[in-house]
Order: sequence, then C-alpha cells, then structure tokens
Amino acid sequence: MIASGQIRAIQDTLKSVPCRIIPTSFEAEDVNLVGFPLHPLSRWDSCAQALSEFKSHGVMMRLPLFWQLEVLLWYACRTVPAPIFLNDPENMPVGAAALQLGGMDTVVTEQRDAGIFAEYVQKENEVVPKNWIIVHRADDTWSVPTSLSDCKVAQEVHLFPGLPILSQCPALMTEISGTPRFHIAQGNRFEPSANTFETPSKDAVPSFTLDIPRITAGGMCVCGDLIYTQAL
Amino acid sequence: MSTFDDLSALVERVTSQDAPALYRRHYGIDSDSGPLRIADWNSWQSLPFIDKAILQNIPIEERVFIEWGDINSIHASSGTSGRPPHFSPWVRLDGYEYRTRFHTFTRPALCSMPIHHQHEKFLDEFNVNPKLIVFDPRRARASVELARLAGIDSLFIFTGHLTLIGPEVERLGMGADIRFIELAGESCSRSLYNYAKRVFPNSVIVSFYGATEVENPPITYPCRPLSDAEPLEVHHPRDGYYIELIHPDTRELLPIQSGTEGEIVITADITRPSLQAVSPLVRYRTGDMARVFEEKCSTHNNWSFTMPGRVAMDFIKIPGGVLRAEEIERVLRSLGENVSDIFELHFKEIEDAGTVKISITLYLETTGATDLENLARQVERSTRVGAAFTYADGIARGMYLPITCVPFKPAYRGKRKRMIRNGS
Repeated sequence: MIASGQIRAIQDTLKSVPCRIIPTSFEAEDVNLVGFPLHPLSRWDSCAQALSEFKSHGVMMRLPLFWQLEVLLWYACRTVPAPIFLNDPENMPVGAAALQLGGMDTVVTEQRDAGIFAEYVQKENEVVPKNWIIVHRADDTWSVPTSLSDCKVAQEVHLFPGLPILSQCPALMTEISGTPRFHIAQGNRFEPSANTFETPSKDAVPSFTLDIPRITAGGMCVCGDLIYTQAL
Repeated sequence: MSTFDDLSALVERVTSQDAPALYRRHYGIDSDSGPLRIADWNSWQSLPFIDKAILQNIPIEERVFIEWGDINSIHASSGTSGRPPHFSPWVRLDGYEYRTRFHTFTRPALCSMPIHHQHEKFLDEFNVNPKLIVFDPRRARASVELARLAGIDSLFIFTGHLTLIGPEVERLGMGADIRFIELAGESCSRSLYNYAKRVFPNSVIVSFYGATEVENPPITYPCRPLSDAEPLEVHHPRDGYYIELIHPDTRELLPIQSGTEGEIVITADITRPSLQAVSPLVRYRTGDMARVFEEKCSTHNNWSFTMPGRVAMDFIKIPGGVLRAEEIERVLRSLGENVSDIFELHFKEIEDAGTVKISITLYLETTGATDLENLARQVERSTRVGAAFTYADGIARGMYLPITCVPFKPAYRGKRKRMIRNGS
C-alpha cells in the first residue's frame, strides 16, 4: 500500500502531534512504510462491537506486534469486559494451549492466518475456537476459510493496520459463506464517485482523503445502513 | 514493607470459605473449617510453599480471586519439565512509578515489555504524545522506524532485545536521543552494558526483576542506574511484595544479611485494595536466585539484592564446594578488558587415574590476542568454590582437572544458560 502524498507530507511533524501512530503498510519490509496518525483517543469500535456481540470470555491477538494494535484491542476488550492474550502468530502451540488452558475463546487475526491456525488448533485441541474477528487487508481478497463455517465470525477491512474502512453489524456477522458484505466503518465518509475515504479531522489530527479499493453498493441492511461488497 | 499483620490477613483472606479453593486445598483445610489463622512467625514459616508445578495443576478459573472480566491480560510462561505453558492473569496497571527518579517523561517510549497497555497507561500520566510504540522483535526495522517518527527518548525492553534495536537505531542515527533504558527479563552483562553505552551514549540504564507468574512486574525497583564503575543491577523489593530467601535444596529459611544467596520466595500482598492481585501468591517459589547486596541501603532504607540467575542452571555442587556462575562472572570481570563476563561453563565428571575428577571447559568472549592458557590459570586461582577454597586448591588436591578456555561468540537472544552439564 503506497501512502498518499498527504501522509508523506506530515511525517516530519508526527512527533509533535498528539496521536497514536500506526504503520501505513501490513508488511514490515515495505519500503513505502511510513506512519499514520490516529487521534490519541481513537478506539477500535468495530472490534469492541464484535466482542460484545460474541460475549467473549478471553481474546487472543494473533496480529503482528508492529501493527501497533495491542493497546486498541485492549481498550476494546475492556468494553466487554474480557482479558487479552498476545500470541505470536509464529507460535501456534502456545496459542492452542491458551485456548485450552488460558480461558481464551476468541481469536483476532487476519485472513491469511485464520485458516492455518484453525487447522492447527483443530488437530491439537480437536475443536476450533468459536469466535473469530478477521482483519482483511484492503488490497487482498476478502474471504473466510471454510474451516470456520461453524463459528461466529466478524470481518472487517483495514486500509492500514488499525484503520478499518469496512466493518460488519451483528446482522452481517452471521453471514459466513458467500461474498462478505460490509458497512462503511463508523466515523468516516465514503465518496463513491472518487472511490475515496475521508477520515475525520479532530484536534491536531487532520483529515485525510485516501484512495481505497473499489467497492460496490448492494442494498440496504436490516440495521438501516448501506451494504457494500468488494468489486470484482 | 509487609508486616506480620498484612501476611496474616492475606492468609485468612485466601483461605476464606468463599475464596477459590486453591489455598484451602493446598493447605489441606476441610470444607467445614473456617479460614486459616496464623498466630506467629513460626506458623507463617510452616506454611507450605507453592510453585509453578502446583499452579499448573489448577485451571486458571480456579486461581482467580476477582471477577473474571476485571482481568486485564493473561500471560504465558514456559511450563515445567515438558508440560504445556502456564497461564497467569494480571489486573494491575501500576508499578512503574520509580521510573521518574531517573527520567522526566515527555516523549514516547519504544516498548517490548508485557504488557503494552500497562506502559502506555504509565506514560499517559505525563500526557506523553504521540503514544507508545510497540517493538516487534520479529520486525525490528519497521518498529524502530515508527519509533523514530514518534520521537521516542526511552526504551522499556527485554534485555535480549537491545542487540536487535541497537543496529536499527544506529542506522537511523537516533542513539543520542535515547535518555532512558529500562531492562528486564535477563541480567545485563558487562559487555552488553558496554554495547548499550556505545549505542545510546546519553542514556540512563536501569533494570527491574519481575516474574510472569507473579502479577504485575516489577517486583523490585532499581536502587541505582548501572554505571561504568559498577554495571551491576541492584534491586529493592517493592512495597506489596514480601520476599523470603530459602536454600533451594533444603528449603531452609535464610537470613537477609549481606552475602546470603538463596532462592526467591514471593508473597504478593493483597491486603491493601490498591495492591490487589488477580491470583494472590503466598510463599511462591520462583526458581530465581538472589544474593543479598545490602541489609539496609542508606538511600532507600530497604534491603537490596542482585540476581545470580536461575536455581536450575547457575550453580553446580562439586566436591569441595559449589561452583557458581556468579563467581565465574565476578572473576572474569576482574581480568581486564580482553575478556568479557559472558561465558558458558560446560561441566562434566571424568574418570581419571581411578578417580572421578571435575572437568570444566569455559567458553569465553575474548577480544584481541588473548593467552587462553594463562587466562585459564588465572580463573583457577581466583575462583572460589568454598569459603577458603579455590578451584586451584582443588586441582592441587587432585579433585579437579585444569580448566580449558575456548573462545566463542555468544548470542544475546533469549535467556542464556551459563552452566551446562555435559554428562559424565
């Protein structure tokens, strides 16, 4: 993901902005990786909503640490409330043990890890955790592994790690199979004609207009919001 | 400092009939009996110890003394002898107030210590912005790049991460900006200290002792920063923790007096509401060794200790006394700049001339042209294995074989094993 000129222009001033800094890429080796400012009081509301919907008992994070999401996820966990457990995605045995012995029942991970981990846990524990929150990379294909077909799954699409552009209401979370359907993540404005996404301006953190992958509007949800899907 | 009344109240609380069964079961209290009341220090000292193996047999939900939802985080530590990991719940977010003695916090920190929200909460007290940057040891470059953008001036990290962060900091020319480094998880060797001072020349370096099973590290606060003259980590027990030292084999309680070395037994005091733990520990055997440094520090009016290492790997009983990693470290530090205090001591017993002798190979980090033969003789003469008995004395008596020194390049990642038994 290449950061816009608007983001590049503020890099030297980030240290003087009250904010939380997240990377503009999902890949640590990305030469285009720079920092993106979130408001210091910003929270991961879509995740908190999913955790509350699932009534999560314990939440395991299997996202790379450099994505800077632990604190945001912890705040989300406090709303349930439920404890957080950090599992290095490369240490699946400890993750499986945490599900069995550490009180965890919810996994927060990304799509490319979910299937691999579910398969491992199925083999080790003979049962797959019941709750999943899956982060899709905006420039990836958005789908859920078939091994999670009996689970509760909330999906969201992030432009950068920690910047959801699409998320699901409880009604959409029930749709495991088929093309995932989303709403525009709360607090942001989508401009269909330009296919851009505008983040809110608050205090010292400016608004950003960001290009996003093409999405298609597809009817109204029972919750009253417009539904979007990934454009093919 | 915990008083007897604090400890007595703690025991009564953890053994009350409405408390989780953990301690009632451990102390053999039947279901009809009321809480355990201890009358004096003798009855305190007769309370059985608890350790990780015992805790591992009890499901986490049965070790939680507060509402489950109030737990902030769960942490894994390695299991005992091939068993699965042990999971410890934490609730407290405090414990780092002592940091302000060493640094004025106005800038963010790069943090690898668990758990990140706890450290962000600490910085929030000083309205520090931007927020904390989390260090990802698998992705050092990206983490340090974000830290540069945030303008960090401090590190809260595991000791082993220093050499992951250092090269990236040098690459970005940030070393002089770092003013405060806090280390945990492993002792900082002389050579690692020298490395840190070279890469981060303006930094104050401190360390604390913590244990995953004992909620809310740090258990101690640093007496003083590490310095060129004394790169030694000296710890004071924090308020809320009662620390006893025992002989790791006999379990005999040892006096807190200068030079005493024993296994750390911790009681996490939960009698004051602000110090409540999720899972209170009463006489918990940590497996970590401490050596009393001062019985009373004139600055902090509290006793202090240094950390020789783990019970399991930092001393070897041999005929004539005990060979201690800390003693080898002390000797190496006295031998000048051509050798660092990082080593691996490989120990075995060898049949020789009808008897069994101790054979030591000492793998050392050396610089320049070092006379290893001469170095080995110096180590033999200087290393005490008993009160008035050196390793050289043991060679003279035919108990030990001469030491062999071999150069090696140590890795800093993870915990270092300093004493390794190679079999007979």
